[in-house]
Amino acid sequence: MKEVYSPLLKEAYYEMRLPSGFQIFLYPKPGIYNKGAFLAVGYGSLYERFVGADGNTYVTPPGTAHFLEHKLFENESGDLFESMARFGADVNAYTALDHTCYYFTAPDHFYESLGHLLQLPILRAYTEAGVASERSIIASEIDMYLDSLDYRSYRTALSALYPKHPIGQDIAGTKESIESITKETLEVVMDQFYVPANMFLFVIGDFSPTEMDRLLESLPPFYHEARPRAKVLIERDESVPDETLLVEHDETPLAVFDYLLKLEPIGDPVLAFRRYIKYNLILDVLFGKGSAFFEDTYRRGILTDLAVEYHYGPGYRYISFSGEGRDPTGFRTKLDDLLAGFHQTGVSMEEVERIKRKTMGQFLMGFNSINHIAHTFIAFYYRQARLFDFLDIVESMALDDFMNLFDGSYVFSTIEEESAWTR
Amino acid sequence: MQTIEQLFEPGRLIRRDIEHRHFKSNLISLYFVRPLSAKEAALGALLGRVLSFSSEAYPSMKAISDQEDDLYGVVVYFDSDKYRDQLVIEYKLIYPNYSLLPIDSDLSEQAVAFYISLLARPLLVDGLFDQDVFETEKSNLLEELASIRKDPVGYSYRRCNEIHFRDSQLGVYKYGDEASLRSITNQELIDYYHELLGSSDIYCYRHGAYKPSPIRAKATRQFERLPLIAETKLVEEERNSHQSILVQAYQTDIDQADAEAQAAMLFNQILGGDANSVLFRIIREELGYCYHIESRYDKYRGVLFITTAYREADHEDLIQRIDQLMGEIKAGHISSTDFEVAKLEAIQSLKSLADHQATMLDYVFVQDLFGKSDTIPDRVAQLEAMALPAVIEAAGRFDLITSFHLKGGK
Repeated sequence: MKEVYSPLLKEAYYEMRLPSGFQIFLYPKPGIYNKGAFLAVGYGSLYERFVGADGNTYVTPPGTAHFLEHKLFENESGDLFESMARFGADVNAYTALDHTCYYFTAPDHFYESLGHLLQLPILRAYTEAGVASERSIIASEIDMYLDSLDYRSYRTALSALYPKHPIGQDIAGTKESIESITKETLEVVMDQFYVPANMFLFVIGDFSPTEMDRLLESLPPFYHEARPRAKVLIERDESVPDETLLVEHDETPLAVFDYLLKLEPIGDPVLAFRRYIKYNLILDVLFGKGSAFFEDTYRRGILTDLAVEYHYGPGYRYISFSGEGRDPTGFRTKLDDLLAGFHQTGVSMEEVERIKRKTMGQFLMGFNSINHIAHTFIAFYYRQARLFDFLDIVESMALDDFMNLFDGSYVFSTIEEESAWTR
Repeated sequence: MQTIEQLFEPGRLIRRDIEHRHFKSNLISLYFVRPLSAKEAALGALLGRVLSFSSEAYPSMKAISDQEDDLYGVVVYFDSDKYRDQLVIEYKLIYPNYSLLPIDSDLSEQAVAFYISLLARPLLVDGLFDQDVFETEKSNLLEELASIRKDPVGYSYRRCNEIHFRDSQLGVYKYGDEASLRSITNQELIDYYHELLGSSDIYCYRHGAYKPSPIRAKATRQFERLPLIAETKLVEEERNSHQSILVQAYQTDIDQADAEAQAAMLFNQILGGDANSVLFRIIREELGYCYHIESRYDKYRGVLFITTAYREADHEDLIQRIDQLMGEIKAGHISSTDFEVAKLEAIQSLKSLADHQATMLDYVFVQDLFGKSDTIPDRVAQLEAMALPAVIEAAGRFDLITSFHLKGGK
């Protein structure tokens, strides 16, 4: 068992890797009432195409990862979700682009619930009838997203930016694509990705490090088995959007808009994570609430809210500028000007040091929540980054190179009312 | 540096400190209690925004943001909430435990002084708020109120509230309404600011590295029982959307001060409180009618809402099924498993409050606001002792009064 300690937080977590490749991470948090267990699987919505351990190439419909996440709780004798809830566990799951996570938090009966959680990849009790009925529920979920203007504008832009990359597809798929998902589809994915070497367990709560022994004892034999996993096939999408301005009309007093800037992907995970931190610092300086850009556009009534985020993963990298306001065209023009001239203006070191201080304090305060710690740990894991390294990288980041940071093609999507007010 | 105590006259504040040294942050919350009305709610919401964007010492958004960042990411914000016929304007500060940061000095006093300065010394020009700031924030808040129309579920919930409580203030939205907001002048807002600080009941609660202190509370007001609504109402609107939305309001004569309120809370948990609930299992998982369905019980207003988003083609059957499930529960068809799980979840939820600073403070505040002296262990004991007949009896005291149907179907 290996200890990983943070001198800043004065906290440590412990890790163990089995010969099968399965890992356990134990994060003691004294004084917290709830305990959490998070079973993470290295399979997400992007992994539509892959080469199986049998050497065959598989292509699965968009939405398969999300569909499987819904179905995995189905069980011959009922529903594992309900079984865990009977112990008072608060159970949930989510599908991300590059992983899926099944988890619960509970103050008591932790090991009873953990036992059920660990059965999820093993039981495979979903039925053809269960798969058929789930389509209706997921179709309803998709309708819910389609009725959200914020979602629709963003999704329109992302699909136009990446027409050939799976990120251009919604995590839930479409109502058409989920019709193609069968029990056999799920079985293939389970065989290829839900294998011990592709999973890990993250446990957090008022435990002592010696709890690791009990966690090991709780593992069914499945987790000790060495099984091969599939190799994901994701091609880069270097297409340039045909149309850069996408306008839709709907009932909304304020226009919603999304400006997505496509950047060259970065293959090296260490470099990619450092870039992620670098961009986050720069974007906060340029577009945060304390920025000249935000204050100017806010005061002029061009926008009322703005969220800027940097995204990266296998074969993709882009920045999203999402907001709402009265003048989407004005916003786009001002943003174009800033991005085009950035390499000459750069950012001041004083502003960067200020954002670093903010980042440190907010990173620290995030460690109040076991859910925040777990989800951050898992997200960093799939970027091949370590939780406690984050602040060291922030501290040491030197921002002296501003060339080509915002070079790329873009798509601008907006949904507005068809009236003079929002033109 | 000015402290909270110096800001108000001695004895004005109702104080409580909760010590919990495991957190990486400290939280201070001021709660200003006001009578609920659309005008008060609009004034409170607008005032919070104006005070957040400029002050005497920090006369721009950038200046405020820079100070927040320099203090290592402190978070200062206003918000509003409502409990029965009371509006509560909250003003919160979250700041790091500076002893954990690699810095030479403890910035706690500066963080609190900054928090106080935004409230105590606003940016005034000739005795009024800066007119540009006032106009900008008023305009943005108007847009925010109007933008509920782009959220079908949120819009439907608000409409059902307005219709159900049409004859009282209880349906007022916590940020007011567009008409009330439009009528507000800069002079009115500055008058309201002085009134807020000068004559409201003010609770000051702190959570973190503080020595615990017993509360010094004023006598709480007596709440009369709410009048019951006699007339049922069904309102339908149309919208060009993929899903239809249904919000139903069930009235109860169980008052928040009654012992039966706990049983009513368990009824809600069983009915539609989470993914183990009857509505979720039957309407979503078994029948596949929807992705979203839930029930929400507001004991302070004596109402339970069922909200769901679904395909319009299933509308009639959905209504019947919900009605059937309610009938079954009222007739006593609650499994012992569902009952025991709901009790366990309610108990866990109470105990889990201690894991989150903001929810812990808000919970304690609301208990104090309504003059409740039972502690979390007391409430846990009450839940543990509760028997199923009490929940069935409580369920029987909920009647459907108002339905709002937003008809979609693209």
